[in-house]
Amino acid sequence: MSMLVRATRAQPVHLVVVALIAAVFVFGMTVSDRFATPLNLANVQDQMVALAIVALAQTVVILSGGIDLSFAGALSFLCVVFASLAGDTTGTLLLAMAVVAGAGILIGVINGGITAYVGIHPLITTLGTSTILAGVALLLTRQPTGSVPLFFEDFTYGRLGVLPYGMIFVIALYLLIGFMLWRTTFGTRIFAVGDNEAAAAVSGLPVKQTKIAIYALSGLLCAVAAMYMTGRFSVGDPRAGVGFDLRSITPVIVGGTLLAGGKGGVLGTALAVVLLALLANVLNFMNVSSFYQWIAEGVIIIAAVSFFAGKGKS
Amino acid sequence: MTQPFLAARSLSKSFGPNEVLKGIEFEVHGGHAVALCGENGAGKSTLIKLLTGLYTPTGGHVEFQGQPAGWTDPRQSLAAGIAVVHQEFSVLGALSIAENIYLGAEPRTRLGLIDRKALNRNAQVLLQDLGITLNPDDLVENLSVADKQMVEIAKALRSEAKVLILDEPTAVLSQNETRHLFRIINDLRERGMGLVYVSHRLDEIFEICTDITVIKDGVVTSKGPTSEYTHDSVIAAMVGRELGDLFPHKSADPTAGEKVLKVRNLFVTPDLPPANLDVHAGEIVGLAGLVGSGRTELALALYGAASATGEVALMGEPMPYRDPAGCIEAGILMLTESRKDDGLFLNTSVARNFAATTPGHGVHHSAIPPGHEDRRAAILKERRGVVVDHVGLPISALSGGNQQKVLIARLLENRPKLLILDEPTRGVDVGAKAEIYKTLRELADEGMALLVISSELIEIVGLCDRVYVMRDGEIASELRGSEISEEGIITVAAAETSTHHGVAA
Amino acid sequence: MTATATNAPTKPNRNTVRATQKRELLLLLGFLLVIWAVTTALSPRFLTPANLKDILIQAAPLGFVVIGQMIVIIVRGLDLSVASIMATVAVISTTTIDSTPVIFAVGLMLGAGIGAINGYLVAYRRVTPFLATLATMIVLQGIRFAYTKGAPGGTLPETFRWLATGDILGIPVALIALTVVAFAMHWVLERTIFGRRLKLYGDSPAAAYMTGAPTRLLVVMAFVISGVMAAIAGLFLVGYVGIVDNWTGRGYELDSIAAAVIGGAALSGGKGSVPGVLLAALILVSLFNIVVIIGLSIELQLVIKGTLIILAAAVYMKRSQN
Repeated sequence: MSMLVRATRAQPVHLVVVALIAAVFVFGMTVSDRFATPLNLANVQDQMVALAIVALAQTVVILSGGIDLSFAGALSFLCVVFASLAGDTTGTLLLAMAVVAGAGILIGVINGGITAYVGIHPLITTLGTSTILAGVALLLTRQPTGSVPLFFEDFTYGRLGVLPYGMIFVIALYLLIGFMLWRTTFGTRIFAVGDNEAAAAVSGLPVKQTKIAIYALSGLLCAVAAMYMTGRFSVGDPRAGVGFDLRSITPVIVGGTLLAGGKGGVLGTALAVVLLALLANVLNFMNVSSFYQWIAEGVIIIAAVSFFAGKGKS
Repeated sequence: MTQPFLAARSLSKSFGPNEVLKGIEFEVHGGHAVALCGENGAGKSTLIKLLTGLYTPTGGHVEFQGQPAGWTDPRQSLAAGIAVVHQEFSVLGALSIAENIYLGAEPRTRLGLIDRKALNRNAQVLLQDLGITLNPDDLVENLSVADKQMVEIAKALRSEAKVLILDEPTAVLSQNETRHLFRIINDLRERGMGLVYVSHRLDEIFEICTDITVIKDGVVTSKGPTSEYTHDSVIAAMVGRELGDLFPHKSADPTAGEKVLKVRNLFVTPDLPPANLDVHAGEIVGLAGLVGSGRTELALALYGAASATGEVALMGEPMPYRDPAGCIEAGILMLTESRKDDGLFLNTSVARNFAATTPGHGVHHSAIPPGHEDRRAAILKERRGVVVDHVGLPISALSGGNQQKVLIARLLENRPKLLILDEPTRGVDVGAKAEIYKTLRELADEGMALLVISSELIEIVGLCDRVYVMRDGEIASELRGSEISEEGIITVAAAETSTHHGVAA
Repeated sequence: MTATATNAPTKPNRNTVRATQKRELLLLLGFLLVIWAVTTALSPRFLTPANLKDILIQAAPLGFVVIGQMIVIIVRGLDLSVASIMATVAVISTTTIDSTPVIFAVGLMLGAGIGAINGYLVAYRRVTPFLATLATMIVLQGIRFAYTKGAPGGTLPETFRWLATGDILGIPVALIALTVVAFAMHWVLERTIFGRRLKLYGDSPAAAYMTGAPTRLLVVMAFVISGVMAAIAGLFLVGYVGIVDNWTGRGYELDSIAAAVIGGAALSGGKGSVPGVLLAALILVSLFNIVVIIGLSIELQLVIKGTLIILAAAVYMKRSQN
């Protein structure tokens, strides 16, 4: 049991999040008959796939003591590239996937390289790359462009019972990254670098290379999110990533991962993604406009962070 | 003699025009523990950085088992078998004990994944070997300082180090923890490991080291087997002068002055006995005790930087406890224990550091004229003995001794009634030490009340007129006059100290 | 200690904190002049009084915001809510009030109040500035959309429009206002005890506390100043554009961080100057203007901005390592 707790990095607060999910769910059922239907629940899941993937990337980066604000520009850029290459055959699709994955990794390597070797704060580095990529995406096209093969679009809309394929993929990704954090040396290094970079260096860890690998992983996950989003839209939107930089941070924080690094894990992020998506859905049923949902999101961030700040060392 | 494990051969290091080390010859043989002695700034830490490849030498070379090492990265020396237990530990709080010990060398399964079972099992064996009962799966952040150090040593053992370098390992340990460490060091030495032991504490050096190497001003002034040395001869080689010259005269009648500070029933921690103490004008009162005995906590409470309940009166007036700002206004000033953490503004000029507690001094209508602090800071060079090219330089450019002088000068700008000094000479070279002692005595003679905390018994004994000895969070005894001796303090401070759960006594 | 040390004249030293800062300012000024010179060579339309006036008016709102942003960065903070404050203040005060002075009075108080909330969260609740201001940003967004039901209406008073677009003796009013505020803030930062304490706090919060600084108050005040600056900027921007919009000032949070970093403020705290960040704002706006003047694709502005942020940060990093 305790091994399981250590492996998943479960925290007492996760019980609170689970309780909140249950409460929102029950509340949702009282609000509308249509809430607990397979159709609606599948919709909720569809809504969270892209955010869940970038939040996973953000979790890994924040665990290492960094932050990745490049998603806004990177997603837009990668969506445009993917849609313009994907064509309509399996061959073109695979080529596009390879190119976009490579581009995502390259973006991460640049982010990590500048952060590690020049010593610039990752917030500034990734803000810079994000701005550049947002510009490049718009330079490539001002209007949504390109296409994806029909079978790929169908895949992103496909379902296994109540579980959309996208959701199954997300669950697999979370398990994979969670396993990586627990059972690989790279995973241990992420926590080590996030906890105390100087001490990790003295212990003989290749801190700089580790950072590059972390941002590269983040870039790769971002590319995966871009493929999914393009599939859903069936077109490459040069503004697809707008807002994802800051939105990706909320679930990480609400899930109990500390912005300072070294503490937290993917379980909290997963739960927080579910909570936030359900909450938005229920508020929709209540005809609460998205305006009030923003207010709710902000209050949740403050509540979560105040909670963790109060618990942390003085 | 056999081949030394690790050696420095006419090793030199310069930073720009400053030659920090000159032609150092130094050897560590297997089965030997070599004490590396020297004042702060003598070049000990530079030597360690050269030996581990963190710095590259500007002359000579490092030899490992008879071959030139040519390391350019500490990872290379670590791989070769040189492990260092640093003053500031390199253990990671967010990882478990086992993960820390095997960081970078985790046991793997055939698939290349971390073998968690083997990891904990191997760690357990290592810990048992060191006589420590800790659960390898516990997070390091929950450990005591002594246990963290043990994890560091276990880490060194894991890497099958041939040479273990310990940099001031006992600075943070209690008496019992120190004894435990010494048993481990002796054990490792007998198993054939070579040890380098850096410490200021001569007693310890004579107890556990087989050889002594003394560095002064970047040159080896003396080396040989411990049996050829006495305390005095080591000190003579280190400082080139007698200890007696270091301290000024003492006060003839310390409690004759007005009672400046009166503390009654001050609860620093609710479940420990309260503190009672007085400090009179014109005396230097020492607050002695082992690290962790509550000295710093008491001082911080008196300064308003830690919460406490009880009666504190300054010059007969009750002190309303608020925060350091309130204490500064009332006339209590404090020099904190760790300069770099909460004393210095490292990127700020010397002049502005000096004026930090009194930014408004000599200012009209709250507008600070350009160059105001620079002009005020002229006093640093003229009267406070600070050596600096320009007071506009960032204070990080100064030596430890000069930084400390600036900080003391800063406190004096407030004309304090009571001055609390926590480790006033930590990281300060011997020349500056003597100057600081002299300054403190002059202040007492002028009628100031001083409360000095120090881990260096010599300092407490040499400087203080009266001494309170703390043990386990309470003031255990008050010593006066001839009662103030190293033995007298140790007897009280180390009596029946509770043992720690991890380190067996 | 010795007689020679006492009597030696204080010779100029290249490595003093002040000398280093002065060189950074000259570097920024040099860079601005170089890009102006290059553009003048490329296009005759750049160095005309009308275009320069345009650049300055456009730089004014960013100028206000970046001063506030820099002061928050000096105390190791970051204010992501500035753009949201700009829009919220502009929307709420202009749609409820007709009198220009009252609009400004209410707007500035609103800005100060929101800043105080940010400061409270950071200083008293120990919330990371990044997250505290991220949350306020989102909450304010919700509040103003809910308040306007998504579509703000109403017309702006004539005097209000004039403040943002008009001029006195050929000098734009907005620019005069920015100059006054900039001098005032520069004076506060460099010549007052409060300013000293702010910079000392940024260098080492722990040492500031131990030397008797009112640390929490300092942090709250920094965010209040940032809130007020954002409020002023929002009002001028709305006046300049002429339309009250829920997204007024969108992007200013990141632009102001960019300008602050380019202008020499370090996220590690304790460093930053009003002339530095204003020069940086001017550099950014000039580059945007140049892209348009030379007839390049407008999206190139983003690429230039991003590149400049990273380059500037790299240059400062290199300098601080030497």
